[in-house]
Amino acid sequence: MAEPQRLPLLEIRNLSLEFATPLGPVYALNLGGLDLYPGEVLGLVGESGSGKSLTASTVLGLLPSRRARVTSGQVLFDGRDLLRATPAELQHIRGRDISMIFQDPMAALNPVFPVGEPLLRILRLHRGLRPAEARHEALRILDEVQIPDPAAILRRYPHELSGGQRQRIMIAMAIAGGPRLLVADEPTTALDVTVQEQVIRLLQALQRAHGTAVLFITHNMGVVARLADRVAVMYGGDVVEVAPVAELFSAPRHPYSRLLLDAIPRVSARRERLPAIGGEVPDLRRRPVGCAFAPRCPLVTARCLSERPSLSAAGARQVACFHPLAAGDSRTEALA
Amino acid sequence: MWAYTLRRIALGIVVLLGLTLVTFLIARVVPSDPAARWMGPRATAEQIGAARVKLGLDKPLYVQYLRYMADMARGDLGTSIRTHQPVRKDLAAMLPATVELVVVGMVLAVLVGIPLGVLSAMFRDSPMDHLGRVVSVTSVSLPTFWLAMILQLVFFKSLGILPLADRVDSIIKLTYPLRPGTGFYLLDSLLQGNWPFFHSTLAHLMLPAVTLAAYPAGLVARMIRSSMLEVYQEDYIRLGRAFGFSESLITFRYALRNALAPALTVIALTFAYSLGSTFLVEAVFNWPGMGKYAADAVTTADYPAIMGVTIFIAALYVALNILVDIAQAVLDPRVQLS
Ligand SMILES: Nc1ncnc2c1ncn2[C@@H]1O[C@H](COP(=O)(O)OP(=O)(O)O)[C@@H](O)[C@H]1O
Ligand SMILES: [Mg+2]
Repeated sequence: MAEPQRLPLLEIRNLSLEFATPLGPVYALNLGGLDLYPGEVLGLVGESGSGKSLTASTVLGLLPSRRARVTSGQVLFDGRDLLRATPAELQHIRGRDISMIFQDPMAALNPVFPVGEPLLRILRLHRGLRPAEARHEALRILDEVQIPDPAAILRRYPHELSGGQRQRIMIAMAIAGGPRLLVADEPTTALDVTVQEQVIRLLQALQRAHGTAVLFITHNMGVVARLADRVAVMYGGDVVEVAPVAELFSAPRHPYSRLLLDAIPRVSARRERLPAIGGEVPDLRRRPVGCAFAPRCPLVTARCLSERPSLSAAGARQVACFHPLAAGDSRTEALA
Repeated sequence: MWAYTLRRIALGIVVLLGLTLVTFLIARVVPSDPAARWMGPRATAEQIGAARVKLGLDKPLYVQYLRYMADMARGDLGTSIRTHQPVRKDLAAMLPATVELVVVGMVLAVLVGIPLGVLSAMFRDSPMDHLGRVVSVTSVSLPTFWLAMILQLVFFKSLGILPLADRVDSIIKLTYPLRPGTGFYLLDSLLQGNWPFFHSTLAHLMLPAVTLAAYPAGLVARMIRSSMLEVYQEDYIRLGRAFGFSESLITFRYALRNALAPALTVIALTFAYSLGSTFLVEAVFNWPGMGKYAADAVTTADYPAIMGVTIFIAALYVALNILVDIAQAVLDPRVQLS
């Protein structure tokens, strides 16, 4: 569990990212701030298109396309700004201090190489192991991610493995460099429901064993409730609320968080997917002036449309709203 | 893999059999009397009649075809109407010259085309990329005969550093004769340690090989560039970046291999295509190869020679196709050979 007085491992400050498109820029990220402390699991939730994946790739200094441009902001890892790091510095950090689990392991594993190839490469590159040592270590890590018969698996091609095995290989690669921060972008979404459960348990066990900080992106509120220490809710490219997981579930303060949580039981109780809520996702082609959620917010006032609320601390919680909900507040119920 | 290869070879033979029939029919419906050609312009009607019997031309067409096929099964491709030599012997004499030219040309095309395409993609939109694209577009669009002439003008006439035509200098050929060998001059002179001959052969190969390589090199560069750019978008390449692999490691170790598999078919087709342009290149550079032989055979309706050349080239196409399929399976483990 994180203690706020400790120094954050990762600090995102005023991050703006836009895409150049034929129709003009798309303002995809406009993130006021987000902190992640050593050893904590921070869940990042929000509707599809809210900018979760963009945030994840920007943390690694990887922009998703040549059209993407960071227009302002800082991503401080250990106090060092990754957005201003040289390519050589980034190469050193990626896979070693920060690593990433991709959403779809089938797409993320090179189809024409055995799955052991990148794993061994990471061990040699980031841990300085010689080939024989790297192989030995790879077998140990594959064992740790509970892959049976590791020696045989190393030589297999991605298409020869099951979805669960592929994601375990991805996880093995992600922990191989001994990272302090693990970014997991919907690591179970592409998997079968039964396999999802195993992978979540594995991630939980690994996180506890290594004390790695995790930025866990997901659609699945049930997973957040189990894995995360704190939750950050994203909307329209910004974080609108951050709270310890139990507190967010029991008493959300941002109207968007509230609508998000209220909407869960109405959809499938089993899968607990984030549902669509009323109104439309914000038009990212206009630079947001006021609160991004204002057009859909039941509590909107004139101030929300003209002024941007910033994420302000209230104890262990932070909320970016001029009219935050109090515990037991019933103001959004009419719409929820 | 072996079963597959054998099946492909068997299929290739069937294709070649069909091809012999078609070529045979086409060569024989051309209004020309091979017997008259065989005897020359001053032959009498009786002599021509005798030649017709000797060549088997008095028999029905299907008997002629079956006889031709029976001979071919024994490795006999008939006798050239024009040279009065066994076609097999003619081909064996011409073939090394052509193969040497094509191999050097294609190696050149690959050695230039692949790095050009890779660097263009790696440094996309940089001056390197722009230069690479201009070079590849130019080399694809230049007409072969024009390029050959320009090269001759520049390197022979203006600079005087490369020979105009032929396979080897005629004086070198007399003063440093090559002992009979494989017929590949580069190889033979190298094996025999005949450096003047080797040097002369290499110099003579330059211009025709560059001419031959220009089109495939440009096409390969373009193919590889677009294939690489597509591969760069893939998650498995982003993964390499996310794990701190350097761009050159990502490009040369990983992405190139992904990009090569789909580009391979096009590369092979380009090679097959440029086999056709050797005819032109050989004519321009007076290269004593199959192209010249075939051109002479066509203008004299020398049907056994035409058939010999056709079957040989078709066999080469078939072999190339099989090789590409196997190479693809080697490059990409998902390709099932079945
Ligand atoms: N390659 C891209 N080109 C243009 N816009 C993009 C691209 N990737 C993402 N975006 C924009 O960024 C927004 C956030 O995307 P993303 O981070 O993938 O959302 P999430 O992961 O929360 O579903 C999208 O709604 C889209 O408008
Ligand atoms: Mg996403």
